[in-house]
Amino acid sequence: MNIYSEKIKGLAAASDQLCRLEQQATTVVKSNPICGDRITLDLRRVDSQVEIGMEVRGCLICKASAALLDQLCNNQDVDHIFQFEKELKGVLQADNPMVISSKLTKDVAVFLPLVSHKNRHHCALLPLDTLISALDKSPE
Amino acid sequence: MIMNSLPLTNSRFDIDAIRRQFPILRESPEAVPLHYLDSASTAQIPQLVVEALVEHELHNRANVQRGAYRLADRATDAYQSARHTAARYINAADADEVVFTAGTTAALNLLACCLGADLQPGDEILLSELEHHSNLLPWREMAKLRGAVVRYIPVKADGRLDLSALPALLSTRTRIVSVSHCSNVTGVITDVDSIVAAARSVEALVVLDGAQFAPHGPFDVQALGVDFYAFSGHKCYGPNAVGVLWGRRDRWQNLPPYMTGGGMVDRVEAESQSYASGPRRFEAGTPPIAQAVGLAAALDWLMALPWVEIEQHTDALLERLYRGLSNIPQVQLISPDSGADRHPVVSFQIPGIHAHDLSHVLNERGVAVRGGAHCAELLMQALGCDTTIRASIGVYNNEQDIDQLIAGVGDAVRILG
Repeated sequence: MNIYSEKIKGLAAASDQLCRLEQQATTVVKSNPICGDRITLDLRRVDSQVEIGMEVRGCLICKASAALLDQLCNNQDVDHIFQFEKELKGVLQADNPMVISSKLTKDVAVFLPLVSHKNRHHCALLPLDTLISALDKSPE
Repeated sequence: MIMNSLPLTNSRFDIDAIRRQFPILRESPEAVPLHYLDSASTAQIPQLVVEALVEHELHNRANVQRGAYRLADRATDAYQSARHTAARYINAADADEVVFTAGTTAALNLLACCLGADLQPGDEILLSELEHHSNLLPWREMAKLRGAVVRYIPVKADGRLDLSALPALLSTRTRIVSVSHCSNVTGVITDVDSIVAAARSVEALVVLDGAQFAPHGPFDVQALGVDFYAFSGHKCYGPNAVGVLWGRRDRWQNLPPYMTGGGMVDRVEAESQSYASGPRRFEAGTPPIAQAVGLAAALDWLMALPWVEIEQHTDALLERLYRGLSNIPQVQLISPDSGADRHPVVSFQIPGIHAHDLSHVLNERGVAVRGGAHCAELLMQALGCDTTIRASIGVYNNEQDIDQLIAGVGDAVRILG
């Protein structure tokens, strides 16, 4: 299965528009030392919602994942982010990938072709892992 | 297209006979044939080495230097014989100068720890910008612990060390100079003579990380004039989890042990202990016995190969690779394209295409290369790269491997460019 679908490439291209937050925020930088990918993520809690900004240096998969994270999790509440985490990890582990019910899962399913490419999972997960670390660091 | 105009390698060299000794090249688990160009990471293993491993485990397995029974004697003989084979491969003056370790990383950590024990605050360690992290971080950690200073030989734009900087980098406080014999990213071979001469002028010890040099045929550590030399078994067509650390006999003396435990003591009493001399002092616990036996089989195999013809063969493949890649306008070669001071390792990048994506597309053609920073982040920074693709040529590679890589790079440009 081709992992470089037009949708992945489109998302990766969209990541070029991502930018850091201008307001004071919690910042976390995570890298993948193997391939050199790096995510710099700013997080700001606004009421019950989470605002995020990112700078991405990475492969197409990492960039696409960052763009999807921005589309689906920016200005959402924490529960929504944890649901995204569950679904992205579920898709990568092929946890019943044929059952695609929610809107969220349909979007996340763009990463289904990665299931058998385990060495690329960290590329898809790096933006999310960075966001989770920022949530842990950010006072509620 | 490109391939038809590329040179053929020396036809006298029977590459097919070499390839037949590597089952993995005949029995690719993938649907497409394997074009393995990642030997700088781990070389494939010939069948006879696996057979030597299995033979030892099935018929000679026992702990070494301990039991009084016949089987233990056979195991000990096999292990010590492996030490002699390793000594022959590098032309050590004495087999007792050879210590088996878990690999180059373990060897360099051992050295950093043992040599570092003698460092004083303000002492200096000279490394280079092209070091693999294995020859960087152990020294840096030891320097931090002892208050020592780490300096770096800079890298020129062509990937070679700027040895004109040596006089300014060395001082009477320099205790250790530790550099790669061959870069794992560019394939450039270090001018060891210049390093040794400069280090000797300030009475510093010289350590060579030979992980990338040792797989390319037997060599002579005595002629190199260095004090310590480390290399790994798995890059020399041998098993994982074994390596060699050679040191001149007088350099081993008085070094404190790295790990303590069984097998490395002379005497233990209630309040004191003394340690064995020779390699045993640095081989605490049960050593990698079968792995050492397998490594010896690999080194014997390497010593029997026709290296003049192999070098002609790999040089021709290297030229074929350079010419093929140079015909793709988007490719930027990172390794120098000429000079005898290099082994067949080539790094390149395509601006706008991440190395991981490129290596993924190459995989579709069965081409196995390494994409990333190659555990050499200082070098990446010095060369202004985030990541590169590295193709490394082993004794079993042929024209088809190179042609598939070049065609795959063309694919990647179309798909990802």
